Amino acid sequence: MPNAQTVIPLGGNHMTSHQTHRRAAARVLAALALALALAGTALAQSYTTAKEVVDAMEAKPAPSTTVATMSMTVTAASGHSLTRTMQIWSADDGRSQLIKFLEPADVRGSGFLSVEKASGETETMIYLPALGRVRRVAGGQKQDAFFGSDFSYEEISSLSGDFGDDFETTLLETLPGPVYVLEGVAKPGSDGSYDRIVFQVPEATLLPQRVEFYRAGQLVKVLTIGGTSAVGGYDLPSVIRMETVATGSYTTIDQSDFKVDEAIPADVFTERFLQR
Amino acid sequence: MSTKRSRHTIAASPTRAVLVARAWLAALVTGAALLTATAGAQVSYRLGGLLTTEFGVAIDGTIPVAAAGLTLKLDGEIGSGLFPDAVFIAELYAGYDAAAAEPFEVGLGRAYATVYLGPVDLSVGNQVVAWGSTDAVNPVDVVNPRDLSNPVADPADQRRPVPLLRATVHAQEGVSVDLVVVPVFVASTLPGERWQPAAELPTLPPGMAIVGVMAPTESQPAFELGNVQFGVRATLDLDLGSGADVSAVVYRGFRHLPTASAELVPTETPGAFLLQPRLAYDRITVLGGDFSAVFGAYVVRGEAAYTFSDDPDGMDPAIGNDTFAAVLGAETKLAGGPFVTLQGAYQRTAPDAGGEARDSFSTVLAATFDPDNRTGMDVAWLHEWTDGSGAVRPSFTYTFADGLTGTASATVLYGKVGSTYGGWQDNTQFRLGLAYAF
Repeated sequence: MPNAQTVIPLGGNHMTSHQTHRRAAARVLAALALALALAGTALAQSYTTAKEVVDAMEAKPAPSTTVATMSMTVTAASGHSLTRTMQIWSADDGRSQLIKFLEPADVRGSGFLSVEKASGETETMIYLPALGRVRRVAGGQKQDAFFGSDFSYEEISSLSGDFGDDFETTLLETLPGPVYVLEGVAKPGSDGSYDRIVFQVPEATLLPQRVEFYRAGQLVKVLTIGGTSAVGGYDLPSVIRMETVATGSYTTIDQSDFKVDEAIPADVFTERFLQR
Repeated sequence: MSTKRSRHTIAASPTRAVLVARAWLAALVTGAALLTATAGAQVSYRLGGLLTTEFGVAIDGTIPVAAAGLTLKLDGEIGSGLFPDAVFIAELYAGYDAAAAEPFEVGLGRAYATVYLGPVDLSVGNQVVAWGSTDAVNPVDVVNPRDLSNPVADPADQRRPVPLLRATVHAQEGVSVDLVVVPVFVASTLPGERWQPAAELPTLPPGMAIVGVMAPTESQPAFELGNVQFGVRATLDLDLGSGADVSAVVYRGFRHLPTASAELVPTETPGAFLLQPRLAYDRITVLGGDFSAVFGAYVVRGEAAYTFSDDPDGMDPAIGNDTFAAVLGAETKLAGGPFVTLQGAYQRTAPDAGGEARDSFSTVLAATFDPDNRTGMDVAWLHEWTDGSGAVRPSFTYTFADGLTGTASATVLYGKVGSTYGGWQDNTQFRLGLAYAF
């Protein structure tokens, strides 16, 4: 398994490292050839509609389960920051998710469990050691800040999923790369927090690298994928930043120690494991 | 609260049996961890703690609290993988409170080990078992005694760990059964002197007079097999909406607060008597249940319990009467605003022989709002509708750095003299605190 902390730069720059032992002339020729090849790739556009892009994103293989360590740094507009570290277990494309806090000491042991049932309803619980028992959380609380961060509970739950399920998408434009810029408008009856999103998807990764969240025409938050990790044949977002536009605060999540496709017992996504 | 319930000052210090049990349990937890470590099992542990300091001033100018405390904590797990074979925790507390009768205090906090045996979680040690679903009033949360030194503190902070054996069985189809055995009785810590009203002496026939009050005598249940307390809570998760659960509770044990009675002791002077208060802890059986359910943006919670005493007819003034309590409430997050909780609690105490039952109805309205990731604001309003008294407790917290939190809070008590909270008006107070978790 590749080193879980290794970040593979997007765009093919990693290939130059294989040429460092070649002679200078050969290296120049190879670099030229590579540049031409990349230029050709940049000009080629595989998808012409939003549906094709979304289908390609959805067809991209994703791990059946993920276990990772998440370091969440919340930075206020003033620049002062607080950091929290947690362990995250995820299965069923993020439909089952458990998060337990490791640091700092005053939140250590707190946990968050989210399980989407067959009916489509999501059962959500939190565990606070000081309370000594598990509490159910209502759907309306999914829009609340996730432990004081710029992420909401709902957004944390969808970190392992995609942004296309609740939105009708259209292709706005294609930037060099190519990078597809798509607009998603909330489908009627959607219970999401936003009525419009705009997201950029590089063809090379088919992972959203920037997502703008709008509510009532106002830009509310901006999510940026600042790095990915190649683990077990998957490209997984490892550096995720969410900015709240109105306040200027932002939260950065660094994910590491990935384990993918490991069998996670169903017991993990239960109240029992949440308070263990 | 029953009129028979004592508010006399007594030292609710742990009995010798409790101290021995706690020391034994602490040694057991530590020894088990060390033995496992030396036996080659994979053990991971962590040392941490909490440093606190608090200062408070009451409306009458007195200082109800000037305290500092240090809790050291060792916790860890034995085994590897997602499901360790066992976990353990041991806490040691040392504190100073200038306003307390005994300013220095050293004691054992939680100290227990849990072994995972297939579908069974087996815990032994000094621990807290929080049953129920509601917040301020918990009729089925009967396992642990309370530290009522500050009777209007957050109820979640008042639970005192006690030595007990706990087995939680996780059966199939969302059913779990929680069994608890508490071998040693531990009483609640009674409110301090500031919280106790002046004693009311009984009216005697002409020619008889009370010339003095003797120190109260207290009889706690002895450490013997017949006094072992035990309970069961069975919970069923329901596949309903966004989640629901319902539980049933049976508990056989003792009230953690004493029932006070008094008798007249003749003196050498004819017609002159001394009053001898007696405090005893009633044996009880509790039957109850609780539930929580999520409906859209609302969570609905409820609890109810009937407590049977050994004096169902109210014939014996030294034994408390049957009681019934029920709580129903809902909570939701207001759009763009605070998280709001409203709960109503009805309580009924069966009458003494020839008397009338006492009913009370109170509500708790609480709101929590976190304007940013460092700041938290809470306010809780408890109102007793039967006598018009109540308490309002606003608080403000600020996180200075990771683990370092400051708190400013106030407790405002109101009501007529003689009402549930009106007698405590002089305890209206303001507090500042600082806590560092490491």
